[in-house]
Amino acid sequence: MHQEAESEGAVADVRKTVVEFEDKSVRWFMWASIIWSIVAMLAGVMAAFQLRWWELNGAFLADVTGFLHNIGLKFIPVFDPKGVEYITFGRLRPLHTNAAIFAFVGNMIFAGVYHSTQRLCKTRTASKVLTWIHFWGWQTIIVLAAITLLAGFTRGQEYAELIWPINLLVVVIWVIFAWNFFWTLKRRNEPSLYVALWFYIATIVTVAMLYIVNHLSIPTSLIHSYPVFGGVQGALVQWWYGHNAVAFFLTTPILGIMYYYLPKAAQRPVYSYRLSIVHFWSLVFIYIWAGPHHLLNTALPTWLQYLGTFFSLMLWAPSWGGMLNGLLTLRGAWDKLRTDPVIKFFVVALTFYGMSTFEGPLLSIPAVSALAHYTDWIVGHVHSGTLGWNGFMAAGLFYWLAPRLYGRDLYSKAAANAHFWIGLIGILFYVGSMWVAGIMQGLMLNGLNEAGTMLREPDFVKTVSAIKHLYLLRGIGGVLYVAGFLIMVWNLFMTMKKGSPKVETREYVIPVKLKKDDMGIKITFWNDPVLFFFIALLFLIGWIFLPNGLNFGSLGCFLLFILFTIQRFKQYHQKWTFWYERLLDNYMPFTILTFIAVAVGGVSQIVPLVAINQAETMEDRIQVPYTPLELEGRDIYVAEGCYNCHSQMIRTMMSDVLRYGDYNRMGESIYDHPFQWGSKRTGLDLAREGGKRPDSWHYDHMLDPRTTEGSIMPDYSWLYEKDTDYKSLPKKIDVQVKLGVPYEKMTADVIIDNARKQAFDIAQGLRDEGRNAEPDKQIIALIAYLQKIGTYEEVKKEKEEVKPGERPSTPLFDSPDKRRERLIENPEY
Amino acid sequence: MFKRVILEDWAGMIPIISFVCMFGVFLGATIFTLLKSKSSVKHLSHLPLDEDSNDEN
Repeated sequence: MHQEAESEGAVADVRKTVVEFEDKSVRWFMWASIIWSIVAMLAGVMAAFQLRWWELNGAFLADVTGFLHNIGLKFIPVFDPKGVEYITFGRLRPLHTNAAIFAFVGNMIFAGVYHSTQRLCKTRTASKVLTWIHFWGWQTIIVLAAITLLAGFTRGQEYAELIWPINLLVVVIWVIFAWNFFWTLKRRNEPSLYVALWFYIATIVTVAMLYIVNHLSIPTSLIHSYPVFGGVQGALVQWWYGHNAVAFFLTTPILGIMYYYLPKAAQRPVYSYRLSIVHFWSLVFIYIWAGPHHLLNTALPTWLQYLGTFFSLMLWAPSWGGMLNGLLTLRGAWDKLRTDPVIKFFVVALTFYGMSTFEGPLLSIPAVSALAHYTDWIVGHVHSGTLGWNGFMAAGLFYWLAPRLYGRDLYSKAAANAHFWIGLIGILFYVGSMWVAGIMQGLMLNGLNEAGTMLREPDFVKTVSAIKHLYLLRGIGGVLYVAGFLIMVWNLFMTMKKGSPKVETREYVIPVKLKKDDMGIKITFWNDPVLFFFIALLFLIGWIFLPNGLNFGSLGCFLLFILFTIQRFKQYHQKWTFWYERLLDNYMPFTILTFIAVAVGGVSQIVPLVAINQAETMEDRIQVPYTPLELEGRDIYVAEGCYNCHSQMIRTMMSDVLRYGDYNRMGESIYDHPFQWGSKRTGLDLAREGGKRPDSWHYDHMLDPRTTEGSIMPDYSWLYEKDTDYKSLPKKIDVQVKLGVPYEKMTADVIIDNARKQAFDIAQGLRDEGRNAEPDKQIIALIAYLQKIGTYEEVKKEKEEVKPGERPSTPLFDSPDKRRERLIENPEY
Repeated sequence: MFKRVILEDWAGMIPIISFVCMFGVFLGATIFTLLKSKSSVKHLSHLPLDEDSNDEN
């Protein structure tokens, strides 16, 4: 059928266009989001209850499946009472997070973007073929992700676990989405770009940049690779990505959806369009810098930690500006809050957006982070954002969309209201219990005696036992939230069943000659606003990088230049404004400038760190590379998702040092690809685990963690049955060498022999202690790795000769201890 | 070139630089926004509502 019929209007310079919207894909994306949301949430609920009852991956599960099998449900397999490797917490949690982010919210974003973009551009989506490649490609990615994550194929970095072939597919599908989106913008019949489209543009370009950079890897096989960035560099890039996955996947597209659908639901324009513009530019510019707040008090250089903190604090302003703009859109329409479930969901979603964007900067203050990081407070914070902001926005969107997509009223308003209340109570149970659990555990773990020399609670397990009942409340909260979503599934299914897919057409009157997309590259960049911005930035950079004297000259130039800019603006403000107005009608220059705004933040943080994160620049300590067997053991550690519960980063805090040992230096994880600093301590930090306990302790503990009373870790019995993969080691070592790990030259045979010999020695030692250990089993490789963690060499450097009157060169990395020593030796430092 | 970046003393300048950057962007966005014509703002803010006359179900 003809998609856009045109006819000349009564007035010569306008024409009429009839647009038939392509909403079938919107319906499919909506249902995909709904179905995956249930999968993601069930995985989350299961993982949550596993922390309360470790038996959920063991005897309990075996009893339940055995019972079901015995009553006639023969198709249900009876689970092994020793546990099932595919559903341990370490594997379920990545499935839960990836499914929630990319499957649930991802499909919801696509539904909202495809639906609203057509209406805002007054045109049909550019390509049906690209839309359906996008849809099926994305669902394929999700299915592959679910299978591989449960199988233990992972890159070992949070929200970036997927193996490299799937990542390539993600990039291809994302490019197809972008292509289709920008093509639609190009074909638009409305010259102005509404603010929702700005947020979509920022999402598409930034997510592409983040995803590609953080997933750069060198494959060792079809299912395994090592990330290019390791150690502190890997940590920075990961949290630059991880934080901005929240910012540009879970926030900016949802804000775009909010700016389009909230005015429609409230039937009034957004409270302040001007505020939405300030909201957009401030948010996009600031968000990208805030990633290092995930690494406060760690071995990350202090200047980066400061950046993370300050930019996070600045986020308060735009985030709250956006929230208030959304809430005030309901001015004069607050009565709808009582009657319209869509408004209810949107308002509470915005409230949670405000709460989490208040809490985020708060948690980025180093002193607060010292208490909250690695505890359940962070889990509570994240879920107030995902369940409250993302989940309720999604529900509001679907309740608004479904009647329009199926051409009838919502099947049951009462059911939607029931969903709202059950879901809200679920969130409060969840978030409240995690706040209490996090703060309680943080206080217990950080508590010192009055002299500050001893831990008040030296037994880690007691801090876990103290919060176990709160894990139960969290699980109940999760169940309530899923129950609410199941009500929605039924309600929307009935709406679909009673209605029929609606083909929506709309007639638009548009100018014959649309004034849009007429800005070339030269006009985009060669104009006062852009040139002045970059010149000012150059002076600021000069202040940072130029030597003493010149740097202050550069600062002076910057201040003078600002005065000149003000003068120039007074004179030519109309020209400046005209350029800006044109920019908003030109999608490509707008996209390029948005990309530059976000790229500056990433480059400024990552490039300097890439330069210093090298062995020759490290002072103090440097990691000893793993032997082949230890490397294989590390890969098993990563595959089992141990980083989901165990950190490997002792922070520069007395409580951490007293509990785990000397704080970690930057060089101590320099050869770790991927880094394993972790983000949550459900178990102990393992950064100095090597040599702390005998091999036999690890052997017994992994088989039955209850050898440590109160442990909630699952059994890992399959590690005693599965063979170590020696054959893959030569290729893995080869890739490690390419990544800069200083292995001496070894042939494949030497590598394998070396691994086998070490395994034999460990197994022999275990046999001597009465264990029936077999050298070729995975548990031996894992023990080899655990006993190596934290092994380092002191870096010896020749003493520098300083000529009289000259300042000694600045060390590339200065630990506080070394710095103190240097200051005593030479006050010039 | 990176020596000064790594020097911990340099960290003291970060609050100022980050504030200057943030304030610059915020100020620029605010000024440009305030200078937008009322008719343009009204047109843009009503874009989602343009089709609502026949959007009721």
